[in-house]
Amino acid sequence: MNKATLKYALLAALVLQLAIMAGVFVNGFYPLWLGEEIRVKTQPVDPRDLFRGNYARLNYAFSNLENPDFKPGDVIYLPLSREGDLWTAGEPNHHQPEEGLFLRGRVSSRPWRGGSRLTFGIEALFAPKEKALALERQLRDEAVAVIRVAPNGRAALVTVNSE
Amino acid sequence: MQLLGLLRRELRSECRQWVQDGDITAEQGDRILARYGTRLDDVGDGSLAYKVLVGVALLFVGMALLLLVSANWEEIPRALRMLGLIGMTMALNGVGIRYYLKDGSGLGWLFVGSISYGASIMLIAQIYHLGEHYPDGLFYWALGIAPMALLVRSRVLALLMLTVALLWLFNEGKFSPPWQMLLFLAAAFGVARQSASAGLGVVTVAVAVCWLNILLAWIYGYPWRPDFDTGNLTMNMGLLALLFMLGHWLAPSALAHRRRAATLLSLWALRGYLILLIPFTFYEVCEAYLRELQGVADPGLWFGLLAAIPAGLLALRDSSAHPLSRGLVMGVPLVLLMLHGMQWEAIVLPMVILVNLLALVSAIVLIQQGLEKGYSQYFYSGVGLLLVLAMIRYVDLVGDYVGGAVMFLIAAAILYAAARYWRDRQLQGQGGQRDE
Repeated sequence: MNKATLKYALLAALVLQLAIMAGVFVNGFYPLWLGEEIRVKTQPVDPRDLFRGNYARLNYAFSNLENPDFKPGDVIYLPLSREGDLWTAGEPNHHQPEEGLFLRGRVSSRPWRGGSRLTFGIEALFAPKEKALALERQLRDEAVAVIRVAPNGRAALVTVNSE
Repeated sequence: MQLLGLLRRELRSECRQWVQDGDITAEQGDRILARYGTRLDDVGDGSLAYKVLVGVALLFVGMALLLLVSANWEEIPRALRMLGLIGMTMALNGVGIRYYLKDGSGLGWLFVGSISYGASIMLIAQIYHLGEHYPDGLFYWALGIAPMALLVRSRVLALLMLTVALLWLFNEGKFSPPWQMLLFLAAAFGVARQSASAGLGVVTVAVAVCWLNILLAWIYGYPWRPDFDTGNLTMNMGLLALLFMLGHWLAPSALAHRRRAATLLSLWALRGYLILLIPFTFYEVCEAYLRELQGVADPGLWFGLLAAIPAGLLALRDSSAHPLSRGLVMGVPLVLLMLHGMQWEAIVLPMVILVNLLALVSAIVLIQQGLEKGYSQYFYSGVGLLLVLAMIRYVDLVGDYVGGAVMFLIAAAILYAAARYWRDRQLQGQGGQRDE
């Protein structure tokens, strides 16, 4: 490879890194930008992450799946419905609902004690260690996650409040 | 004497001393060193310590970056944090590319730039509280390093990419079959070939073996989860036989790095084989393995045969390998078929006895080869195996105390015979010198 070609190839490799970083950013930011804000009940538990630092892991009532028709890695859609100030999720489905607000998630673990777990990208609230631990203590019983849901079902966590 | 090729720095240093003392001429020294792919005037020696220290320092810089990301520095606005890290990634890599194009240096900058790139991906995920499918972050990290490593032919970048890809493999492997690993393995092989790196080539082979094991586990557990089965052991037996014979097949190559890779492959395949053999010297392990086997329809058996049959054919053609190892490799397909096709109750005891004898014979052959051909690695592997077998039998006796005692006596006799043989050879050498 001559020097000029190598130069352009290396710049292309650098642009690829930039494009991947931009992709991760846009993917994370897209629901915050275009999404509709909803509030759902949650429970912060067990702050910890080896690479990304401290966070409070959030558990939602709709994170548990007992339907044996779904296997790990499957994409699932949960229709959302409003009940007063809060939103709740309906039955999981393989197909995207034609109308209404819904969450797009993935079956992320093997069946365990009769069920699997679903993840939607809203399970981790990153915070300094002390704050994550305090959040876990303060919000153990009554917590509400503020989430923005994009039209395609992708969700982004905005914050977690006491009810 | 291929194993000496792994100690090229020490060889150069010794050879220079011989030339300096007038024992050999510089031309002879160069001719000797050429056998191992090096020369008297190779300048790698002095800079090795420097390279290691700089490499460790750069790694610490990278770890400091990762710690900064982990600290969640809340007081700095999110956008500024993210732009800062992305800017740093671009700047570090930009400087690296500039130096590389200028005079081929700058790999240190690219290495820290690659860690900064990974830290940026994590930071973006952290800022936006992304929790869905975290292995994707590792995948994108390795994916971004791959073209850079290939273009600058950097072993360090390729090793960083392989490490991140391996972490991705173990994490993604829990959720779905990690097919994309093929991409990283191909990139690592590409760098190993371009940079003539035997070490990177062998590390890539080891990672490929891990990948094949996870894929086989997915065949067993599909579509729910990876499920490791006894067939994984069967497949590894075949793979080790193939790697061992590939090492022998590559050994006569004219290229020094290929000879080094061949030596490392056959040595580590042999060690892997011995490690695999040791658990099977226990009755319980053999019994559990044979009981759990899934018959001749087992995919592990067919993957094992897919590797063991070409290994057997190579052994048939290659007369340079020791007859015992050739026999063993050629017998592997038959043994695998027998194990999967027979009633387990009938072969447990014969298998335990056979494996114990095989381990013992392997130790004897290794010691003998080590002494005969001067392969110190083989000699110590044989002595090590013998010691491990003796210790195992001491804590877990086969049959009864008499069986254990017999085992110890056999081991002692082998060691004593090896010591006598060694002493006789030394005396012969001295006698020969006196006669002259």
